[in-house]
Amino acid sequence: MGRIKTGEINEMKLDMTPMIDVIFQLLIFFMCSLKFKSLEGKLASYLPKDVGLQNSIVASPKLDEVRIKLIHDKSAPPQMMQTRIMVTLTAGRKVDIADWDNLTEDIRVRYEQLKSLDVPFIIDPQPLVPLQAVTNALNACRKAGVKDVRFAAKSAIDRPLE
Amino acid sequence: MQIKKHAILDSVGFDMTPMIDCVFQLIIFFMLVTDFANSQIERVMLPKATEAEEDKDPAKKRLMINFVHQPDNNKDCPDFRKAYDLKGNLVNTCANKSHWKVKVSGRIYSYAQLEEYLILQGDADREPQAGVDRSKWLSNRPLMIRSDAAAVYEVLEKVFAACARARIWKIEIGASKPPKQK
Repeated sequence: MGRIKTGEINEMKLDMTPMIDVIFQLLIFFMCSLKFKSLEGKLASYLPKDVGLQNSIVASPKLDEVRIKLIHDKSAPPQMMQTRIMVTLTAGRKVDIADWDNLTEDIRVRYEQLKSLDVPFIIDPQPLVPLQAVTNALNACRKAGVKDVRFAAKSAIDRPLE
Repeated sequence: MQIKKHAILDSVGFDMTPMIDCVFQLIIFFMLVTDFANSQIERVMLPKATEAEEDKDPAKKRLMINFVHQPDNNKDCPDFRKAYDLKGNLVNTCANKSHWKVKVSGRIYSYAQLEEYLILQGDADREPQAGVDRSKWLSNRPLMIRSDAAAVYEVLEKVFAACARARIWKIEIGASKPPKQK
């Protein structure tokens, strides 16, 4: 009986070629499925088409409006951002609002009462009121469900911009 | 006669190692290139609004205006330096109108130039209205205003006036949604 030679054991080599394909697939999958959370949002504040500079459509004047006046006041608490809030219905009583949450509640109550009358809510900030305060007022209107929100801009429209 | 044995050719292999390097180069290139698409956005601290809607699928023709605090000659502004506390809440404003600049696609515009720009852009999509002069047709182009929360309303009012004169009425104000508090 002849001797049986044990053959040399060849080195085990790992073929990397399919690994590249697998990585490609994984990369493409994660690149397509990855979605970065958007930290930026937007508040729609469409200007009214029937009022403003030289109206394109002649509309009957609104008799009632709810005006949210934002008054610059350096003595206001820090969370109010140097702003005092006053809400008034046309020529009615002016109501001082303590903070932004109370503003939301006040607007919600008024909106429920005046919904059927189609009364616009006008945000009327003084020039030195910060944009954050204006945004808070707009936010309060949105939270209360008001759809017709306008901005008072009487001082800039009638004269040249610069 | 001897028959020569030809050497058996080894199988021809293809070395894939450099291919991996090429692919990585391509991936890095495309990942960096996509960041350059947002030249319209300036770095500002947007005002916070809990009711802000997610800005997904913005209209392709949407215009974007940025309000940035940029004093001339990079002068220091103590008011703006103290504008935000450590938590990012607004505590102070800069009321100096000359410090606030309007920027569109990286370029600073004066308010008069802004009005001309808006009129020109608004002309691209005006809504015909019967019986109304063409110059008074409303524009359907949306406009996004991204402004720093520390800006005073007086500067924003000018942009609203420019929009009104350009007959652009679809205005959106950029805001950031604060994280939900537990």
